[in-house]
Amino acid sequence: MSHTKYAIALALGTAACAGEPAVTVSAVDARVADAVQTVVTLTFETDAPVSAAVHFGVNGARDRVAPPTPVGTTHTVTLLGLPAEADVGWEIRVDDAPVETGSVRTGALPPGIPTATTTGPRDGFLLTTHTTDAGDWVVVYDGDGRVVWYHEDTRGLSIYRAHPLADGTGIVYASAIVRGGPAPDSAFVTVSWDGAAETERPVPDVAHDFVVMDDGGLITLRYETRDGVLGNDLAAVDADGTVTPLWSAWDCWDPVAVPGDDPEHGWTHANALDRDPATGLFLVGVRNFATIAAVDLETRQCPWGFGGAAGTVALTGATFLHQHQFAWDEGEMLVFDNDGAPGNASRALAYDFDAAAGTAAQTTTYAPVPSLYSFIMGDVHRLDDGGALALYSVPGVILDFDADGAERWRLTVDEGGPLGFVSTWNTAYDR
Amino acid sequence: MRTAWIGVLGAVMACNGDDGGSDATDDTGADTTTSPTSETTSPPTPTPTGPVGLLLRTGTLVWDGSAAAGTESLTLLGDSGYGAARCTLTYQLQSTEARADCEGCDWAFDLAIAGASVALDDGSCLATTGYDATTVSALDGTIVSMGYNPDYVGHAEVLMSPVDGMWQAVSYVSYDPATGTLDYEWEDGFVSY
Repeated sequence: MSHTKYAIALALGTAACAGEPAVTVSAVDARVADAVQTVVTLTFETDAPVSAAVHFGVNGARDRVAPPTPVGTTHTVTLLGLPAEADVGWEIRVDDAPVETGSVRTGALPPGIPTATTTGPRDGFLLTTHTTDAGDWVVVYDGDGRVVWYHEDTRGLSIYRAHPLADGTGIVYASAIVRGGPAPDSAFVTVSWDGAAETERPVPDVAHDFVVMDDGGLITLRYETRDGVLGNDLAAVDADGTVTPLWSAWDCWDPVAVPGDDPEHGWTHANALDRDPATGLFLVGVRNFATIAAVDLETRQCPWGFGGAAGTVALTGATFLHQHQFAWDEGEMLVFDNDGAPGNASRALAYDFDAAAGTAAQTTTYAPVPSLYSFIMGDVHRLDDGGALALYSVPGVILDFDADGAERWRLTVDEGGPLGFVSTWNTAYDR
Repeated sequence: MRTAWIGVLGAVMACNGDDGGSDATDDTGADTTTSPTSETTSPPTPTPTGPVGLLLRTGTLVWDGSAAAGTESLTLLGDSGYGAARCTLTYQLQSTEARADCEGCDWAFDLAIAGASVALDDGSCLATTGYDATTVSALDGTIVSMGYNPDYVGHAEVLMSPVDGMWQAVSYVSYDPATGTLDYEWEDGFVSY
């Protein structure tokens, strides 16, 4: 642990703000977190109630800024996105005037953590999971492939999905699934950024994916069994762990009429979940139907299905099979297609999608050369600049494509896969 | 197993069309490999020339503790996989050498294809698999590699096969340890026919 204690009382930083009172900063403490050696907690006091901002960076830079503290006299700022064993410089600002500076060195990564290499630098951060016989990790990589946040889970179940908490204080992930099926001891685990606080909400039979709602509640896929048929449902999980069923696959489909194509692994095998904020619809990826289904929780009905056996949308162009994560936004559907391409190849497909008209036309295929294959898992996102990000789980590779579909960056986990889902952040504080 | 099915799939990739993806990434080359664990390349993406079908591999291997043998069928299902079979190739598999480099595998082997034949062909086999009745015997002697991993990190029992020279999980399987019987059904992608 690196610990730098400051007992400095300074009255600085207000010279540029004529007429404003001076602010005295004291009891400055920059501390590397014991449990997460890449996180620094900076605490300090001011002699007047102010909001303070901390600019920080590595190698002498001050190119990052943490969210400003609430107005008060006692301040705590968590510095995120830092690599291990790096000298971190920080600067406290009040009214954008520097009032204190200092530095601290982050610690070393623990053994067993899944390290990565990249083909070059990239802006932003990637939150993903790595689950192997050797360990289960939630990891945030920066654009250079450096681990900037981590947490090892020792519950013995798989970890596929992690999200930032709605209040910005840490991460929540699902510890779920054993031998490809429901685990009665699955749970949602919340971990603070500094790793000091960890809480568990037991929820049996959690499946692959969940979303975090604006109010902090969770909506999760679960396994559900009726008459010996293994399907899926959606349930809400409150902060206290109360579980409320919301929808069932049986609400939309009949196992006889739509049997699915892989009964060895359940009827539906729903493997991905998303929520469209514009419509309030939930989207459920149903692997064994090769369908992405829109779910209306108010009516418990499925207004449309995209692709596959339960599809209602007329698709043209390439189709997908046993898809994993998808992204629906502004007239477009992106789909990670595990098995639709001929040969040893998975890909991401983009469609122009008119949900109202029930039509979609495939426009672009994102696939590396040479090809990569992931028969399970996978993820895809549209990037702000028109590019796309695709995660290939089994080989442990994350690819960044430009708007024309050309690969421009690659992260490879040194230990290989499988990886879970991935989230992209432009800054370490994006949520 | 897709990678390992070099002879079959190499020909498939050389002959069949993709399902219509307008690839921005100008894929080139074909799965035309020449050794059981050799590299694969990206599939070609020609303009679709017809309806789309699904290539499906269905196989059974029996492991007796020292060797493995079984059969596999490669079938083209019409109508995007929801229609009737239009082409079926069948062949036997017999292990030739145990592989010790498949991490997590209970067992793994190189296996030789033998007795390849065309069981069904409505005229689509050559275009979609690369073989018809006159050429299918070329598959005989082809070496493929497969392994059985009983617990692939929460995703249950899987078939392992070399992809780009590295053993990789490629498909779910079901396995009966009492008889040593491993069954798999592996979709091999959409192709035009």
